[in-house]
Amino acid sequence: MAPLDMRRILLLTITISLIAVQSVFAEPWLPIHDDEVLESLPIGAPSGLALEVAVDATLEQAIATARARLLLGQRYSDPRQYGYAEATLASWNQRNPGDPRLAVLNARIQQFRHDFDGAKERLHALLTTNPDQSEAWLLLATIEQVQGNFTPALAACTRVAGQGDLLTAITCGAGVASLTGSAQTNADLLQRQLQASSNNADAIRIWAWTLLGEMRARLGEAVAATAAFQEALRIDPEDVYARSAYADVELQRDRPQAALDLIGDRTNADALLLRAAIAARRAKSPAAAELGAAFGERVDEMSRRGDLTHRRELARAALELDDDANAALTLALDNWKVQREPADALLVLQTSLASGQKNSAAEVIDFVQANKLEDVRIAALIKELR
Amino acid sequence: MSRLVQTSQWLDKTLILLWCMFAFASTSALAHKASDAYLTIRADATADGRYQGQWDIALRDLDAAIAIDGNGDRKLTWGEIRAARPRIERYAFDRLAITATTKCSLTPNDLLIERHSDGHYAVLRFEMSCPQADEIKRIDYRLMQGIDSTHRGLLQWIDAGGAVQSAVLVPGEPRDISLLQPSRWSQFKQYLWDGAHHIWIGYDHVLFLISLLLPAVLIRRRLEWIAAESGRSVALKVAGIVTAFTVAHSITLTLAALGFVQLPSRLVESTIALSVMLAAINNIKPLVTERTWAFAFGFGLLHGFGFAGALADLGLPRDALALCLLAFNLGVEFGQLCIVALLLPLAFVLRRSGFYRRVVLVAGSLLIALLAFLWLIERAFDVRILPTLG
Repeated sequence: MAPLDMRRILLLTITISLIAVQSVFAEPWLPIHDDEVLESLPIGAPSGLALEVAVDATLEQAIATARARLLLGQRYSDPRQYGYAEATLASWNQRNPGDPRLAVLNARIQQFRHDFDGAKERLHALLTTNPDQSEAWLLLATIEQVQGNFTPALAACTRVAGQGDLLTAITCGAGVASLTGSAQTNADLLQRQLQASSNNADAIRIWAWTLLGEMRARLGEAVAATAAFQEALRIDPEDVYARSAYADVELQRDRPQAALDLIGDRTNADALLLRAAIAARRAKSPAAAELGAAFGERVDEMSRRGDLTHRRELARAALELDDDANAALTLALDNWKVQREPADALLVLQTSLASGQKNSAAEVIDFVQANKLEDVRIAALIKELR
Repeated sequence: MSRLVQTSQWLDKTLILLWCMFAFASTSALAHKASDAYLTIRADATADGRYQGQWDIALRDLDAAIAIDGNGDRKLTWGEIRAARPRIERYAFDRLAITATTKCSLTPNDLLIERHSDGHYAVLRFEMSCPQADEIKRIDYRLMQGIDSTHRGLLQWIDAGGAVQSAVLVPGEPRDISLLQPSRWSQFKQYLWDGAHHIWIGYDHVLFLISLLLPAVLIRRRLEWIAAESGRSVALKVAGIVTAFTVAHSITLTLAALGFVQLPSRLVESTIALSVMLAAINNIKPLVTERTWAFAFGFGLLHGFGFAGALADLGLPRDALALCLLAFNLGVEFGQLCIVALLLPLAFVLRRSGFYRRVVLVAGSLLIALLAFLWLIERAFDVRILPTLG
């Protein structure tokens, strides 16, 4: 054997041993050097809360703190921020049961946990006594839309239009209307409005551009969709929702490498980690196994605490990472009971096709037809299922 | 020649891939999962009312609660965590109360680090002692209370028989855990498993066995290894080695566990490392090629003391001493047989190839000898060379 090969083989053996040692010793260890960095803390995360008991000395301060944390939670898709916000509000809720701002913030936390009915109940109670709360109407519209109740969603949007600013109202209305038979008109309307208004809050503009991107994607206008997502990410490159919606379009265009590049090392959020794992698998990247395992480990740890809010992601992982179409179908149908967005419909159709249980998709097909939901991918799948 | 080139290209590709895996697995990504802490409490089988605890708390959560980022650069170093240790322990143990008829005492010991799917965690190890062995314990868990309303404590309570109870602890909502007396059968199973587990994670024993088994499929003729022809002779040789090793370590394990013979653990552990080194070197520069079983027996006596050390850490229940000792020993044998069953068929199939004789036997043994040498230094001089080992 050539001496060169001996060296390679030795290197290979050492590498394998290192990996073996690393995986076998997945046990607690004692770091050696004091300057070893063990964690990078996220920007904006609170520090030392137990030390400052009276952080939020007034209701106004508590509301401002909670709002800031919910914005961070939304931006990074970070559940801890919602927990901090809720804890911040806890003592104020009892002292100010009627405060409309507290009700809206609490409903947003419920919405994040997929307690849609609880959030709606709270909002209805608020809106019967305070009908001029545009933020509450907007949140209600969003939840009704997620649940597939387009008529009440649209009704809530008209209340936003009566009070809030124009871009918010149009985004709300166009978002719902685009799901019920006039997708093209509403996408164009929203695009024009977005280009005409530039002085809205960043959060509103990111939301509107992302929604427009999703509308364009449903219409099969992939280039226009990616342009809209890029606008959203130009305002805030950290926005997890916009980036994962963008990655989905790249995956649908069969450009897994582009999706991987788009996500890069931003695999903190579960949504992005899942898409990275799917993209890596499709692109046959060497990182595929590790990304898949990382997602699996996260799911395991979440299920230990009984966290079931990720049904949509779990169904997708079962279908695209584990090749388990039957499990994916069960999860997709469970998810459909809670969430009825186009992505949820798509999952039921994909999994029932993949598992050969075409009858399971009947309810979703009825829903799509009854609402005249326009989506090129959904239409193609329904055609295939027939 | 072309085959050689192909082989090296394949090796290069594999190497690159493996290094990618290694590099990826080493990075710590801060994932976005709701806040969880992992609390494990294991009953000490030898003493009623005594427990070993481990509490994994996310470094991120500790900073949110008590600000442990000393210099405020948003990076947590080991130095900062060490400096904050008294505050971390005070914060955590003030927020955990376990009560039987009276309150159990919690005494922190080690502070270590562990990685979970969403970043690094501080591992707080502690001893717990409850004056009365009541069957119901109330757990009042309040970590992160008032800070993060979504925080949960994921409890695993392992009783003396090895039965595991899990619970999701909500801060501020005390919970009762009722404990059952372990059955003899569950104790037996537990020690059986512990024995097997000790073999699988006791790398020194595994490597010793591997070093002895690697040449078992070969025969030494005139300074050269050749493949053994008959499966029967190989099987006999292996059976001889394994039996000798088993008999020898069973003797010393029993003697040590029952307290008849005591050896200082540093001496035992160092000599075990030496035995691994010698067994590996013997494959490169063979001195003992016949009667390997005698070699296995001699060093087997030594390894028995090593097993006894592990068993002493687990503890033997006074009321089921013989049963648990037997179970542990059987577990060790089972663990060992698994390794033989895994390794031997592979070695037997590969035994004629140059790859087996040169790479697996020689390079493999070289690596084992090197590792054992480092162990020897570490154990004999009580220093740390291999960072993550041990």
